[in-house]
Amino acid sequence: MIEIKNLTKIYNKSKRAVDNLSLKINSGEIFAFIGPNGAGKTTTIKCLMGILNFEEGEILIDHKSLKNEPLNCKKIMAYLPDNPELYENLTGLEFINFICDMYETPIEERKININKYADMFKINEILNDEISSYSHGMKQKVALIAALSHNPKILVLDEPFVGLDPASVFDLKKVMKELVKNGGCVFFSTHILEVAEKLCDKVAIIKDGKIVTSGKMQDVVSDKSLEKVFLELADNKE
Amino acid sequence: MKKIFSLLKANIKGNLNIFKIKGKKNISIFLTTFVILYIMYIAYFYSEQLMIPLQPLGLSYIALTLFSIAIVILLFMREINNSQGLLFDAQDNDLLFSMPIKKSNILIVRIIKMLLFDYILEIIFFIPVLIKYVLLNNPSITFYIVSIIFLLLLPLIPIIIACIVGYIIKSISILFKRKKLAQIITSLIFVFLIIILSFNIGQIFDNLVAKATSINDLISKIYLPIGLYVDLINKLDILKLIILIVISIVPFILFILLFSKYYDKIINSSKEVTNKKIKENKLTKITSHSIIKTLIIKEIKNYFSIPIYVVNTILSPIMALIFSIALIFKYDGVISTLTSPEIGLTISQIIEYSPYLFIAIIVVLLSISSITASSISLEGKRYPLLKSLPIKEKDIFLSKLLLNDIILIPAFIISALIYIVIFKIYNINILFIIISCIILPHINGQIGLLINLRFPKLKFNSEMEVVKQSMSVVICVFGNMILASLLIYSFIRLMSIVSPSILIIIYLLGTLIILLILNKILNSYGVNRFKEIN
Repeated sequence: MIEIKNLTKIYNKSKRAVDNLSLKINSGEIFAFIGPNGAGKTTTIKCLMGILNFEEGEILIDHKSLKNEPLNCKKIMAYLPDNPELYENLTGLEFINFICDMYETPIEERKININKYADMFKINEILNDEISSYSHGMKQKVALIAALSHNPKILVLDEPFVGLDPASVFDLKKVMKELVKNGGCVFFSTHILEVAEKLCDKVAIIKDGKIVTSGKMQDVVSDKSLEKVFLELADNKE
Repeated sequence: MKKIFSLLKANIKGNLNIFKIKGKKNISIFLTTFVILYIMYIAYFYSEQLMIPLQPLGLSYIALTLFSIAIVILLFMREINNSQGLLFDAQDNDLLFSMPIKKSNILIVRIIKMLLFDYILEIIFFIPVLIKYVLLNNPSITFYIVSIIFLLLLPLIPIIIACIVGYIIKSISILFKRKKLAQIITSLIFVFLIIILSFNIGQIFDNLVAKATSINDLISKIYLPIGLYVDLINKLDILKLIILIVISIVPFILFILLFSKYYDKIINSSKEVTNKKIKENKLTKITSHSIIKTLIIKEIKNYFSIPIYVVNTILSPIMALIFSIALIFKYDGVISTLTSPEIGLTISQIIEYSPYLFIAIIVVLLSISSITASSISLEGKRYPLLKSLPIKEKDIFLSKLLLNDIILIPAFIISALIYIVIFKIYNINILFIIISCIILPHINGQIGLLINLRFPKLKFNSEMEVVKQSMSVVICVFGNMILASLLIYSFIRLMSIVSPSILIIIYLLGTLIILLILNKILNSYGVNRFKEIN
């Protein structure tokens, strides 16, 4: 469903934030994208979501080129940034409605989804309040409900567990599993390696903009733990 | 002291250079230099025009006085809006108040920041005037010393008054449930009070003249520090110099001491948000709209949630309305002034020229500010969210332009209708006025949007930095003024060459072509720029 071919992103004509990166994520897979701070995770995700232009390479979403058909690609994707910046002057519900309008989600579908996820993340009572009054976790939940309410096939999450309470982390993992069970796929970055190891089918470790290892979780981890593999690769100076 | 210095450094870094363009240092330096030199040249030119006829009479210092008064008004107007954004609504409030820094130090740093910008404005506007004065009068060394002291002290009182006005606006607004709306209304009331005062300045001036015993006395009555400065450049008097320093510095220190006591209280109360709570918890408001409608609703809500944005951009339509409404009551007076021997127009000439006059007024009003010149920048940290959505860039532009049109066009049309009735305008002229009221604001919006796409400022501490100090806004205001002058000039030139009806047809076709060209540029260059910005 997601195919990244030789992606290269250069900042200020000199800094190669992502360097010749290739990845493939199939439907039914949860993919963990891990790496140290500044390795290029968020840049890759932003390129994947069409937020950043990239110099070289190609990104295919459901066999469609992101560069040639950005709207069709974005329509089946949902994105949750690491630090959601929402329209603070809107209420939570107005914001979710805004996102649904952008994805042209039918009213019945959005009603079902909003009610379902608002119940799940226990946020119904504050959805009619202005976002400016929300805590970081609440904003994260609203952004998550907005991302899920249009039934995306591909869920792209940047550090999704930061700021969420344990119950919500549990529910989010459940949502991710449900989505891949229905034929979708999840691509997320995280620093919580235990979660990534237990939850994901595939993993890639990025360092200095390059993939240092990737593949099926059991192949990458082998008889070690993901933490150990990560630390070995992260410490391994070129 | 070290803390204050570090804080100040962090606060002004990247903020002082409004023309900073990512990765394009040379363009940035060129634009900064060009704009500064241009303004300095204009200031020099006007000071020359004023000083040369006054020089033989020994009155060239009057030009210094007039420019000082103009600068005081400019600084005051600037700081009324700035004080709210910089002192109360800054995004780094939480960060700074969590650190082991005295609240008074935070206040001092923010006021120094205001002062630094004011000094830059003083240098740009006042130094050319001083140069001209020096060239004409060859004054003694005391002139230089007194002028430097005067320039250092000049912004202090406007800052104090502006901060107090900003505080009053903030205090009034926090009493209301809809704080931002209250802030917009109270700010507008203050702005209009200043405008009304400016309109009546002639009358006030006449009263002062009647009571003043000399020109210096008159100046002192208008604004004491300027009066003292004029006295001091003519004759150095230590006592007057001390008075000048004391009346500027003592209120400033007292203000900081008093204000810092209540500073965090004001900020805390202004942070309380109004929750539009619906009693029942059911999610009853799940609605569905088209993409464009939703984007426009978002734009409108966003616009009215930023008081400084509204206050800065809504003056043009309100002034257009006030102008036409004022005409209803002052029509006879206007006609008698225009038909007076000094101006010498006949009634038929007034009727003939009235449509052009209205368009000139609209053009000038539009050049005051631009809604769209900061609309991309104000997306700020939400810009990636907007880019990640499956919507066409064209739709985003359209929603921003429609907000511009919704705010401007109805007011201009109402104003036009009143004007049409008062001046009994008929036939093609009605069409000319109404179409202009639709096309001109839209073109103004397109230009603002394009400039903002070229020079966005997505990182800022307060919206004030975008609305008042960003490069796109400065370029847009200057660009609009130049365009307005060119348009009015070319119109006047053409009036003597072609007949009125042909002129109107040329004008309407011309503006329509400009609108279409700008639309084309937005949909090609604009879309690419939107994608490039990150």
